[in-house]
Amino acid sequence: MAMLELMGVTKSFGKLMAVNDVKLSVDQGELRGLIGPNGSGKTTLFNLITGFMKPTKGKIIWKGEDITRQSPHTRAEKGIVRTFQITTLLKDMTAAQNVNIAHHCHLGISLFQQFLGMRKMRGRERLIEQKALEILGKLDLAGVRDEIAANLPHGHQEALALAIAIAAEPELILLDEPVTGMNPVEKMAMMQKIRMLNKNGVTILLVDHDMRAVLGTCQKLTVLNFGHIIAEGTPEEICKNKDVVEAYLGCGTQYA
Amino acid sequence: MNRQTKLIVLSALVAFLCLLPVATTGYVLDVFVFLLINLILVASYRFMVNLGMWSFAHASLMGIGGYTAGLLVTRAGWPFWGALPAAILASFLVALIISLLVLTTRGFYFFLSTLAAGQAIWWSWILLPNIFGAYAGIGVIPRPEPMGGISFDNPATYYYLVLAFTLLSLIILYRLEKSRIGATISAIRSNEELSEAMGINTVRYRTMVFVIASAFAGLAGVLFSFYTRTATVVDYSTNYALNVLVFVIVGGTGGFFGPLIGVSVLTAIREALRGFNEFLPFIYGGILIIVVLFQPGGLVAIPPRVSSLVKKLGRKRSIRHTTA
Repeated sequence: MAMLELMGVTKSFGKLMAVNDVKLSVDQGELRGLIGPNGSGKTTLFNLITGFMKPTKGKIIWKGEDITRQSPHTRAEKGIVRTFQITTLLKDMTAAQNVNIAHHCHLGISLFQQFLGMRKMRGRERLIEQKALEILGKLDLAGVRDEIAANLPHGHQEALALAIAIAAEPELILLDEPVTGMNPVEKMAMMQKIRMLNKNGVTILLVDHDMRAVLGTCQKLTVLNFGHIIAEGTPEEICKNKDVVEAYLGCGTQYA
Repeated sequence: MNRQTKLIVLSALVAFLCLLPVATTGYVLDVFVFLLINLILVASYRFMVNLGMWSFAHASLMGIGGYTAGLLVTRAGWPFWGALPAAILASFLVALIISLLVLTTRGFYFFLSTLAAGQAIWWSWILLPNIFGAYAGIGVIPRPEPMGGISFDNPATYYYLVLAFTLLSLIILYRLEKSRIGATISAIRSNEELSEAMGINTVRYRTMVFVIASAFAGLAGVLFSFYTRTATVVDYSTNYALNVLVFVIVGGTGGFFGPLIGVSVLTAIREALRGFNEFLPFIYGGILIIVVLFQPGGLVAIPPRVSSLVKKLGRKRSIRHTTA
């Protein structure tokens, strides 16, 4: 069942077409990779799907609903969450606070109740703290939960960004280069966690430049070049595709 | 300071404020009534500054409160206790309307757009002298009706009324900051994009902060106009708006109490230099420049700076000893 559908989505900045007539369909439970050379439009596509940019043309359908004009926070409430290419965190807050705040859209408590700090709120707060610790634990961040986010080493920061995304209880996560700047050991650990997340039912759309990681993790790949899709298929099919190899050297035959 | 020390200091201050009318009258009481009103203004201003919203319309919104309550009582014969909530509501609504425009701007542009909005409000008072009485102001506003036989014509009793509202306002603003709403606001301040991605409706929160702060400004306006028994355009001018700004910056925006300390210190300085009243803008301006250049964190940032300086000196000395 197609969860996310992009129909004829185009984004132009003046004469530059960052995304050109893209038709994309992601099914529930997929672990989809989105690859392409630098500047091919991957991050722009992410911005369009999550609402940080609105398309010049085309429609974005989420679970049958047209969300093309909706703001990012509305889409987050509907289950679409993302991470950012440059690690984006609440830098002056602790890791635990970061994950805590991310539970915002599924609080189930009105603003008025929040202000009064009533018993229902306090009970919910405790639940959220528990959940936050669980998520931190799953990502091996339990030890640094009271550390200020800005002080964490890069690998931990990336993991925290993922934790924040998970805390928002997403149905679809868009991961924008989640393993950049990590050493091979960290990368393997991160990809393993992403696979686990997918196994737990979260649909994932992944962008990264590490071909070994992407080819080894994703079941299906979509290849982008100059803003439009040039190929789609399994890792084996993609690596044999002439257009892909042409556009994107280093497909390689080895993948983990 | 740790929590216990804070509580002790606060309790002492509140006790001092409660006992003040017993010990003094006249001019000193006057100063403190205006100080308390300024505490409300400054605390509500900080609530906005937390989100980077340096508004220039705060004094005008205070004026909306002052004028509305004054007019309701003098022209429409309303009782004070009816006019008060109506005036606060008026400030709330005007702020809500302005927010539709000013919240499309950020940073310095927000400052400018609120300046424009504030000035528009201020000029509406001047251009409608039949209603607002322009520079002469609206007629003599009577003090609130006596409660339980106690008249508010006495400055001491009115002082207690103001004190009650001030403490209530500060408690509400403090609780807001410490609640989950406050945490969400901190998140928006820390990273607005990420907050949106987490499902936080940042525009709704900014609106909420702006209108709530403005409602408190309206309250301050009512307390002000009923104390001075009038409301004129001079009371709510850009001068007042600038003063609020100076209080907040000099005090420091880092914590809840920064601006409160700032306004208290600057008021004390003003009273100490009572002979040099004409130079007040010069003095305040000079202090502002010095703070911005040398101590941008404001007064509240001095203790941590001093303690880290002391630690540094201590380390240098011990290093010198070990190498000697």
